[in-house]
Amino acid sequence: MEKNVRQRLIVFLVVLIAAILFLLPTFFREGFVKPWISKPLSLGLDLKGGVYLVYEVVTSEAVKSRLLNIVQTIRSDLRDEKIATTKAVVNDKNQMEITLLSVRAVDKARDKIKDAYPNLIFVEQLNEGERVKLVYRISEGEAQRIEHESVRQAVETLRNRVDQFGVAEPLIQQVGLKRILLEMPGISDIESVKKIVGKTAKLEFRLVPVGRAEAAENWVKLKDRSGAPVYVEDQALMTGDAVDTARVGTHNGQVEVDLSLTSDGARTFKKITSENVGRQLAIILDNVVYSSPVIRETIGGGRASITGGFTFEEATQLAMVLRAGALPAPLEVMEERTVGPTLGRESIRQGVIASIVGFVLIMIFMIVYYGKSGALASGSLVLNLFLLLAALSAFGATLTLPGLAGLALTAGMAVDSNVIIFERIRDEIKNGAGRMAAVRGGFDKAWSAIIDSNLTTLASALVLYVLGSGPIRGFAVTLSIGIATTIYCAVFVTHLGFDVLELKGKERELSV
Amino acid sequence: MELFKTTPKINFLAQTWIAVAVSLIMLAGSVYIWIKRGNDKYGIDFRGGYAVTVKINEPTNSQVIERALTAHDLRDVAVQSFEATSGEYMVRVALSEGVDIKWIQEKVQRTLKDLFDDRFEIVATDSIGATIGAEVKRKALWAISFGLAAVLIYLAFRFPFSFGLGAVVAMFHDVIIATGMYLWAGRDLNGAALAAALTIIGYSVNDTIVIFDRVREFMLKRKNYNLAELMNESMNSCLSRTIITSGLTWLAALALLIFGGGALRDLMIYLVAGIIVGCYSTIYIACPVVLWWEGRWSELKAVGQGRKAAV
Repeated sequence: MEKNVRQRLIVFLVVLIAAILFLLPTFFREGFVKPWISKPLSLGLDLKGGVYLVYEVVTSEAVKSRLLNIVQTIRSDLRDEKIATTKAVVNDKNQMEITLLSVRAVDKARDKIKDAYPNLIFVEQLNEGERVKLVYRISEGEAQRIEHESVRQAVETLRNRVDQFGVAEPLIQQVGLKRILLEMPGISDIESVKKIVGKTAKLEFRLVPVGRAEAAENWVKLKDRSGAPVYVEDQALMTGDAVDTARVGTHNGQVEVDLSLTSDGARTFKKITSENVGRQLAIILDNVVYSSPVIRETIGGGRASITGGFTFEEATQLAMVLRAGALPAPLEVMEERTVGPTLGRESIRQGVIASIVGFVLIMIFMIVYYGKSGALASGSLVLNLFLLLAALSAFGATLTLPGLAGLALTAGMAVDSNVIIFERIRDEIKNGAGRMAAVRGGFDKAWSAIIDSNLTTLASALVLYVLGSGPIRGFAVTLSIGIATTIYCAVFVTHLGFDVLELKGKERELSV
Repeated sequence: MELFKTTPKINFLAQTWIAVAVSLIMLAGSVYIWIKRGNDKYGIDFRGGYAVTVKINEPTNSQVIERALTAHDLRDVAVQSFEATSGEYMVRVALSEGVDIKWIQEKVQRTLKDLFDDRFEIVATDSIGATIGAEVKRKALWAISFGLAAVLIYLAFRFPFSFGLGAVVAMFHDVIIATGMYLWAGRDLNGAALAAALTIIGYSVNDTIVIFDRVREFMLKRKNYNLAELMNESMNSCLSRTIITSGLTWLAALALLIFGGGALRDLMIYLVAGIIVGCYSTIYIACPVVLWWEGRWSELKAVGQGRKAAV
């Protein structure tokens, strides 16, 4: 018995010390900087304010890339019809130009395009000797629809990316027609936010042409990471849509980003590699060629990797961005600054005071009603919140209003656990059990109620965390951690308290 | 100190029919308020509105501005300061019925004129989208539905199926009524209300399980029992726990409602309503659902007609 108590005391002290270590940076912000084990617990934007960014979606780029897509499918459709084309581009006026090799195919090509793409509007036909250039555009309405869609999609992508930062509770809001407002609490490094959030992340796989580059018309000139020109084909064989997830890996001591492809992507990649053995495949991100390895054999299995002399941090950021998906169009930063809390400092101050008052009232009641055990319970309640905050800062979580709601629910359930235990102990005493036997019986009988109610809540909190976003996640994080600390405090610590008093022979003084 | 010297013998379930009637009226009332308030019930977080950026050349704080704007009939206003030194504030106003950007701008203009005379300017006015947009709402709905499924699955392992069903039905009952009361109090649905609804779900299920745990214990101990009577007994033996826990949390929520401000108040209105409904529903919704599902409805009548138990 005695040894058992000693072991449990050691566990208790270890947990306590760890919690204190995790919370030290929060309480003494100035003295602890980088080398410390945890960052200070950060408050959410609603409680503290934070980084404020306004982006504008360059929607014309979204339209353009959509048009490029269309023009390339037209080209391959025409190829299927045995109509030869040399070039398919989108010009500055956002018109699609398709150049046919032969005048004779014009009527057939125009009919074909008219049938397959009724939305396209024919602009003009330019004869250049034997060749013919057909010019098409899309309607204003269609262009607008693409623009709207791209902004909506950009908002979703931003949300995905920001979610990758973890539990920070961001505000992402469309402002006006093309702008997106982003507020990120608890983040001081605005540059890294911009790097991850604002990156277009358009990933493409294109073949590198064989032979003299300048000669052909369907080749384009891009740059590699050192700025040297690289020629690649103008048509992307595969894009970032094919990527399922991305993570950082190492190969021969080099940091790389490993991609695992979707099932469709894997099929496409296998086809590309089997048809082009011996050629170079350029991996292009935001129009910069990262690497262009030679395809040595057919690659099945849906795996690919991007190398290119990354630092570990660059690779991590790249993997994050690729996981969240590409933006439909580039973003431009219109405004960046810091903002104050949504809740207002005054209302936060009032809230803190009110919470403390409520908390103290609960503790006073527990002590009056249950005597010394009540004091023990109050102690374990304080410890509970302390551990909860420590765990939150260990996870680098951000405390927000929904987080506080989770905290309030935790406090309520912690009080409940203690009350359930004490009422059970009283029942045992009423049934004639001796004091320490009553304590043991009380804990045993209370166990199932406490574990069932907490685990049920935990089950739903975990689901909320996995599936929810924004405010729902903030709530779920505090609640999940809170349940763990509640079970630990109510069952382990309070019980330990009783046992320690018993060992010291003071059980007679213990009131329940 | 003790609330009850001996275990009380209140026949809770005798009033089931009255309670069911009351619940139905409350549910209908909540649905009515939900429909009646139409689109107007959604706050700025859900449907967007306008952001008016103002510059004030005088020391003040966001709370002062917010209070003044609210006093001038602007509903669901949030004021945020930019860097403390710039004197710039962002006023977010929800879109509501019959309100347009001109009206809002005029209201802001007039309010600020009262407060600061000429020492302010309106820098910009923009329309803003919802922070809880369609995607977040869809995700939230899925998350909550699957969360409930998780509750049902867990409870199915630990209790007879009907118990889980009863807990979930009671929880729906609580969320609907608490939301109805919240809307009735004239508040708008926003991010804080969403957090509060989640809290109520947790609270309601917790309360139900504690009672059901006792019922399960009694069921294992005895061979022949009247389930309705066991439920009555369980409620009675847990009564002091229920009063203490719910009473304490309710008082704490009430303290926060009275002394806390802003979004905290929204959260607490919800909780103050929800805690009461949460206790009530364990007795009068969760238990009857179990009896009904188990085909033991008649036992309820037996309890009701049998001993007129001492109160």
